[in-house]
Amino acid sequence: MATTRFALTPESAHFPATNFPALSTVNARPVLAFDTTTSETCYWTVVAPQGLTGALSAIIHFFGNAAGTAGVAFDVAVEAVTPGDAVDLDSATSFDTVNGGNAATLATQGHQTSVSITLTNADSAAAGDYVRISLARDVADANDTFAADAYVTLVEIREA
Amino acid sequence: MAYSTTSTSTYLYRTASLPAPNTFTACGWCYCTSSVSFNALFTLISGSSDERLIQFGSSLAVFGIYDGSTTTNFASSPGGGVWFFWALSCTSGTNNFKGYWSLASSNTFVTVSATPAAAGTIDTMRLSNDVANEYLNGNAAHIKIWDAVLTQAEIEQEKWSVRPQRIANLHLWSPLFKDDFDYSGNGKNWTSGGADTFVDGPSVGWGAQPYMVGAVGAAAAHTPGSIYSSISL
Repeated sequence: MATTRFALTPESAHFPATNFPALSTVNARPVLAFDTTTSETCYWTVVAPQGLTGALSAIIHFFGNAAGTAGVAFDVAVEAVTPGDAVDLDSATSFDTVNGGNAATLATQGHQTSVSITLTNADSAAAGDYVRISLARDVADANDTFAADAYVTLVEIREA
Repeated sequence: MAYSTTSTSTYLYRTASLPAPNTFTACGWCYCTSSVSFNALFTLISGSSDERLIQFGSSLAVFGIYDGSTTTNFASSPGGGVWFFWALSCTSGTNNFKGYWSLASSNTFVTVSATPAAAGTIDTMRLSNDVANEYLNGNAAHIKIWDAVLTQAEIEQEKWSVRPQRIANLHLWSPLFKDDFDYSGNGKNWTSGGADTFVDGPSVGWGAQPYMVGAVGAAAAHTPGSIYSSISL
């Protein structure tokens, strides 16, 4: 049985200095507004929970800031650091290869959909690790054809 | 998101239930597009006199604080075209009128201090300004004001969180996402000098923690909103 491990909300995201999604609200709902022309990134920091052994997936809930059906592509990357790892946090990151996926917006503006991305490249995250999860809209992906902001409302991290 | 103020008619103000000139701290984020000579961020006014003010000088290369009598400039200025965090606090006494700024790309805080002049009763508080064309000409975000003087350590804690870290003595909290409301619960909404426009804001998170589902631990250790909270879906 799949288990929800984390619920990553817009309010718990943190951001790089440039090219990040705007933290905004739509109808009083917090959203992360991912641009259609600039690839924008945000992060969440968590601890890999005790008992974590299975494969992970990210389920991204989103809707579009325009009507019409078109694709939105996302990339999810995982950085797992175990105490003692030789990663210089001062100057380096160690994100694993990104995991990509896409889904089409629904025809009616404001209707929410989701895309599930299997985190095949999860940086060998193990219980107790310091983990960062990166989410970016991949506007260079040929499947990303939606010509407006994509509003992300929630990311679920699920263990298979 | 952030409030955009790019003309003399775009500013926010209040005229009642205002901070005392010698017992307050204000902070927020700012982005200045270009100089209009003396771009004003935040002002406490008595009658027609600016009593406590943080603003740029005749160019964006000059940034300082003004106590109603004397301008004291920082040793350097954040300049234009960048988001930066600012703070202003005051209590009576030597060098107790203090200004702070820090770039989004740095953890360094530039500070300045002066001994505040006596001030009249504050009757207007402004974010940006329409007096003598001294408007901000840029964007303002995440405004927090306290009826207390915060230490530099407390001010630094406020930089990376939209949500106030210190709740005690909170006077006003305006994230300025899509409205000019006060979210402190004190009902001190801003009045707008014109039509409000909101734009993308600085790279600052709300300050909440992700929900870890099904965390195991003693009930007393579960703090709502903390990383160790347990929620049911």
